[in-house]
Amino acid sequence: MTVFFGIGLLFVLLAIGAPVGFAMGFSGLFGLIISGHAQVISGILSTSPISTVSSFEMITVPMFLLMAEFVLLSGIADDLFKAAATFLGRLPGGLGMATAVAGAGFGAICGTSTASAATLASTSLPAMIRQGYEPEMASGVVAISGTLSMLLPTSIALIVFGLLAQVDIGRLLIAGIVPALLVMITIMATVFLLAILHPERAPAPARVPWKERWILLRRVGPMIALFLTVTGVIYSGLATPPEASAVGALGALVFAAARGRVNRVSLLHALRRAAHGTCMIAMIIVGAILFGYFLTLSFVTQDLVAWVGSLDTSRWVILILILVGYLILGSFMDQMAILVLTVPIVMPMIRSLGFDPIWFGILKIVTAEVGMITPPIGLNCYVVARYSGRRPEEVFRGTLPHFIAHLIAIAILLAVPSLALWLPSRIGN
Amino acid sequence: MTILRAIERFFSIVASAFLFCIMLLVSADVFMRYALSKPFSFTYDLVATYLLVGIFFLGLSETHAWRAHVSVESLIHACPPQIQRLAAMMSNLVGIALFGAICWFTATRTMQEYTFGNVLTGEIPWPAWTSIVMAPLGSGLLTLRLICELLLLASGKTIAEVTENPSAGSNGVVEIRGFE
Repeated sequence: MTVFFGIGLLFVLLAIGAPVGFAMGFSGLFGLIISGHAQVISGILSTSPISTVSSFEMITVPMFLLMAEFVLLSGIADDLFKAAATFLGRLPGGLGMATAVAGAGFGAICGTSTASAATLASTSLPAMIRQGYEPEMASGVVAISGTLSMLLPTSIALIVFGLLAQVDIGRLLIAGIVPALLVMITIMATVFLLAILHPERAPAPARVPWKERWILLRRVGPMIALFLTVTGVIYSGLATPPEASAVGALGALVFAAARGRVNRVSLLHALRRAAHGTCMIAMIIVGAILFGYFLTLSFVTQDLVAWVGSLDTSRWVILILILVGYLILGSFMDQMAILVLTVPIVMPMIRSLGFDPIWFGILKIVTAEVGMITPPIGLNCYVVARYSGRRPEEVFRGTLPHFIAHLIAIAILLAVPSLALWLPSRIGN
Repeated sequence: MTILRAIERFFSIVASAFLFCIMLLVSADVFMRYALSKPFSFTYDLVATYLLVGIFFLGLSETHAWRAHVSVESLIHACPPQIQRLAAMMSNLVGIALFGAICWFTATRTMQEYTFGNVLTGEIPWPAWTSIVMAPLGSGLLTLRLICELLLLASGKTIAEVTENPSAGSNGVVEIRGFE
């Protein structure tokens, strides 16, 4: 019964808009008191918040956030889109496909989906609309392409999942690469199909001479080098993910400085934003840890795992139900909140059902991508609407074909786990 | 409130400097390991025990002031402003209880570590209290901010008036958040 009071209080606090970390921490303490474990509170509060934030793995969060800030500062996204557009532009829906490629390229060095969507909205979206693309279709492809950041190395969402689920972060980051390529191809195929069916929605631009194409490709070379450095050192085992993230942030700073974009004000702004982001993420992890003590001492997770184990249902049905639950939650809850609220409970279940936690992490993040474009709170659509001056409803309508295509991509990842698991199995070989 | 903002800004700048130090220190450590086979012996302790703890606790209050902490706002934004203000006051009370308790217990631990002269169990025996002290400082500052905000809200101020983020209380989500 006390369990329901603790969880009930958590939902009440979330409903009144209390920060998720505050709500989880307070409900956890309340749960410990009413379940007769008040004597452990002083020990937990005097050690747990400090030990949670002082793990070496935690470095990846501020460093990848900082890297993202420096990449944004460098203004590379414009060149990236132009380079992709010169090669793909002449195909049906070519500029839309170039947006997906730019989204993947940008996402590989900037691990936040909303930053990626905002950048694409101010670079590739105006270019598509100038070319005569239907705004609804153009803004839809921008919103969905931004989500590719969540699957590629430097992804903050993957790192938070890894910290909460206690899985190897290096393997998790590498595991996202092939699924990200699959999602990118899915977006490109959707745009291609839409352009074939309605050519007037996506007119082709003029041909670009090969000389100009190579010039543009050379300009994005340092960005590709940065991505290969971060991913390469993790994949080869030369450095741990925290070390790779710090080197990546430094590389991005050097890159932005070489382009003349760094001064005292912009540097401090980037550092402060990254510090705020770090606090926000650390706060929800601290809150989850405090709530986790309550769940552990009240045996909720163990009871739930035992109950699921006793069900006479295929484990695949349970997995699909969990993923459908994530898709529904994603339409009205923040993805960070979903991660922190569900992962500590769902992961023991996934492990007990015999599924690979890294593969599940990738599936979870792809459902989170869908959540970023699902009304009413699909954050990427609001970001694109804000940065492009278009109405959110228009952007939401534009993402509808991609929503359907994403469900197909999830089905493929579900049917073929090796798409996510093959690359991490090669780490260090 | 002006003094509070000044302290928050100072703490935030220190947290930002810590962030910059982590980037340089960890990168230099990787370079020293591969180029000269002489990695620094103190990197892990300094980064994990001091710099990460500092970034979190010293940045905590300003992050809240800017409403950068994640919350589920879809339901509360549909309510009238009076209900939103009441909900914000309740949320502040929850924060005061949580961070007041964290401040109290970590301050007690800091005093104990100082009194007994405990040192960290790493390569370099730094005094333990010098790291832990950032926890009561940061959580104490956040508790103070939450109390000030609560009093201002109780005196009739709106949510937007008590935060540093002008779009808070409407749909500030896009303005400041978005680290997914």
